[in-house]
Amino acid sequence: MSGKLISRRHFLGMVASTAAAAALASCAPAATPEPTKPAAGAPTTAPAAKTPVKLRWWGGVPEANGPKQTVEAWNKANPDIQVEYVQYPNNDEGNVKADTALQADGEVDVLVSYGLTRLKQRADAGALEPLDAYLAGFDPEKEYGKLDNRWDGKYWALIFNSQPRFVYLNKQALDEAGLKVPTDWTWEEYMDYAKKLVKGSGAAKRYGAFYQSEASFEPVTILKGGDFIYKDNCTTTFDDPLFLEALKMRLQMQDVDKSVAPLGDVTAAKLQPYTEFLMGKSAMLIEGSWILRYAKDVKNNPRDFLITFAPMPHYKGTPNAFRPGNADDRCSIAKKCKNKEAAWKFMKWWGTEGYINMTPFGRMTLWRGRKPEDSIQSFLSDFTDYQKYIDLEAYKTVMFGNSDKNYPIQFNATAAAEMGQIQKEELTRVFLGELKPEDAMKNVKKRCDEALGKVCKK
Amino acid sequence: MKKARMSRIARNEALAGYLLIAPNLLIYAIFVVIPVIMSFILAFTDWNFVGGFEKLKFVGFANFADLPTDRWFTDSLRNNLVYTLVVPITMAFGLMFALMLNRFAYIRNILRSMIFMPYITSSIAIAAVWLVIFHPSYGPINSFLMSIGIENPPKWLGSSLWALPTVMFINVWGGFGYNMVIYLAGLQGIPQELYEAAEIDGASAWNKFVYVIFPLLTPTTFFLLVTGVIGSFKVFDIINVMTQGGPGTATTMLAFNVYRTGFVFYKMGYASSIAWVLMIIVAIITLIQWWGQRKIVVEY
Repeated sequence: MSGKLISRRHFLGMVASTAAAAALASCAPAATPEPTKPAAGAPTTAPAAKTPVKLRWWGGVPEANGPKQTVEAWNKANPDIQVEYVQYPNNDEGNVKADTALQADGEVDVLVSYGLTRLKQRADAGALEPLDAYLAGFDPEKEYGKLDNRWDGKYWALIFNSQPRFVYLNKQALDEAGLKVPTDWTWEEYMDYAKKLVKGSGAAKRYGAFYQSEASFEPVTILKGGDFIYKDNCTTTFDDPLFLEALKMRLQMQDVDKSVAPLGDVTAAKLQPYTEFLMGKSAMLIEGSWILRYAKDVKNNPRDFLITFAPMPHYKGTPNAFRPGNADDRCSIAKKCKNKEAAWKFMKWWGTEGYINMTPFGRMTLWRGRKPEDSIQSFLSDFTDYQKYIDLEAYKTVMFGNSDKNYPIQFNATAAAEMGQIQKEELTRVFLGELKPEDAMKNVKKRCDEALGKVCKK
Repeated sequence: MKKARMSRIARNEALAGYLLIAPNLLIYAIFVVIPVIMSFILAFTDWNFVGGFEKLKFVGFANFADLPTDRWFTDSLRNNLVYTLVVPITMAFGLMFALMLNRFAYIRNILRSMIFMPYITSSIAIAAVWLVIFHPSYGPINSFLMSIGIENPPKWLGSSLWALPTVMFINVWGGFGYNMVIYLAGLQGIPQELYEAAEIDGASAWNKFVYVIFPLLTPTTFFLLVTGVIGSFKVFDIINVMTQGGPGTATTMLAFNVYRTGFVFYKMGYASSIAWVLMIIVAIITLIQWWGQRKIVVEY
């Protein structure tokens, strides 16, 4: 009775649909239809002087946190160039969306990328317009400081956002433990503070500090620079003892001092560093200045303690060679942009005068034409009772101190995504207690060298 | 004369038929056939999709040659093979509950709905709930284990050893309700006379199961096995939400690896080659099952 069997045709259908599904997984962007071009209008000679140029500006910041205010200010002053903001989430999925949109005509005019890796992938793929032709009378080095932000001899983006990183401290916890606000301190002192700031146990435990991502070698980066991991084109420096030392330090905090939440708990509950700190569950936090946006939002993050600030620690006897932190908001013009002059005009304004519209939401400009006091004033403009929540003097020091040094900006992004994943995989296992730090670093070195070796230019 | 008219009618009917399926066929071609062909071509290229087709570079079999030494590929293949165990386990539970709820049980309709519920719930929501339940320090499972004196309970998703079994468990839990429903349908199709005949012959409940029920359920079993194995090789959402393939590479699966290679590492050509290997594996396994099932089909 073959009637009870699944017919051959049914079976083949199943196989075919599996093949299709598997293949589709890798082919999604190819299936994205190009948006229809806007009708060219009547073939008259009338110039488009009356109809304003429309620009689409893509960025990762939620619209209400600055972009909306920026667009309103610009559109009011420039009736001939009207800007529309499109937010894409700055995660893997959101970036794929932005990349897909970059290939369509008229979808993206001005794009903000985050991190060198993404920017470089876009520039190398030819999706961005080099900016050098527009830079007459505008010297990025003079306006933003020396960022060396170009490759192949060209500027692919300008960097607008200054994001110093420093230590956030819970003043109440410091007072309880009888500790002073540090102004210049070493990693040993930081670990010591973390140990002393632990309080309670079990689910109510307050930790002394909080982890950053499991793949971060920040102490090494601010000492040696963003490209330190590349020994040469084809090998990495992960055999340098500095990496192992930094790893062991964090491992000691987790396993011996028990001053940071174990990584297993952090990933299982998807704990967010800033919420843990603002809820008083960790007394210190090393983070970028962007957290202030949440610190300011006391309605959604209510708390009864004052936040004070300390500069990033350094190794004993060796000050950090770089300014801890990051410069980001890498703004570019899309290759397929139809009105590049207008796009440049808008982008230049946003990156200079216009960036103040982002500041109330915690984003500080890198532009040297803006006085720090103005930025501070703008940040505090709608934060009337700030004295209850943040220590303003300490905040100013960490925000604007150290600005003679450069951020450890990364210029090389060869195989960076793969190497980031490798570090994450190996280091996670160290923090879960499954691998010795020495072995993990050996694996990182070996695997990263392989990943780099596959794509490097010898 | 008559014959010619008949064939004209037949022709017209065929034409009408083709016209009726044309819209569907067109959509199928655009969204399935063409992408499949394209991904096959891409598997032999080095391509970053941001660059458009101008940047496409043919590399021959280099992508496939890289696979055996690529740890992400070999680990995800191994994990996928282990993960396939989900299918027979889910089927066993499905059959067990189908047998129990086919006849007796007081509140069987409510029980059936309850067991089917996880299947119709969003896998993202399921993942979020299980993340809490399996929390290594404060989750109910480990709290219980610690309260009965187990000092170092497994860290579940936070352990290279336990992460994969944990994910598998969640998928068994989420999927056996569906298997139960399909088995229930299969059980309804077994004629009552066969049970009676077996009883007259003095068969025990176990004998009835082994000689009557299970053999007659073979088509159902086969259907669930094939679709289940195919599904298990495509598992993606729960991995993406719960573990992102970690810790280490403990839960990196082929489909997740395809996604990450293509959209995070921007290696679209290499991702296509993995997708095709995945497809070939699924096709081979399905062919083996197909062949095996034909050997054991029963007649009645």
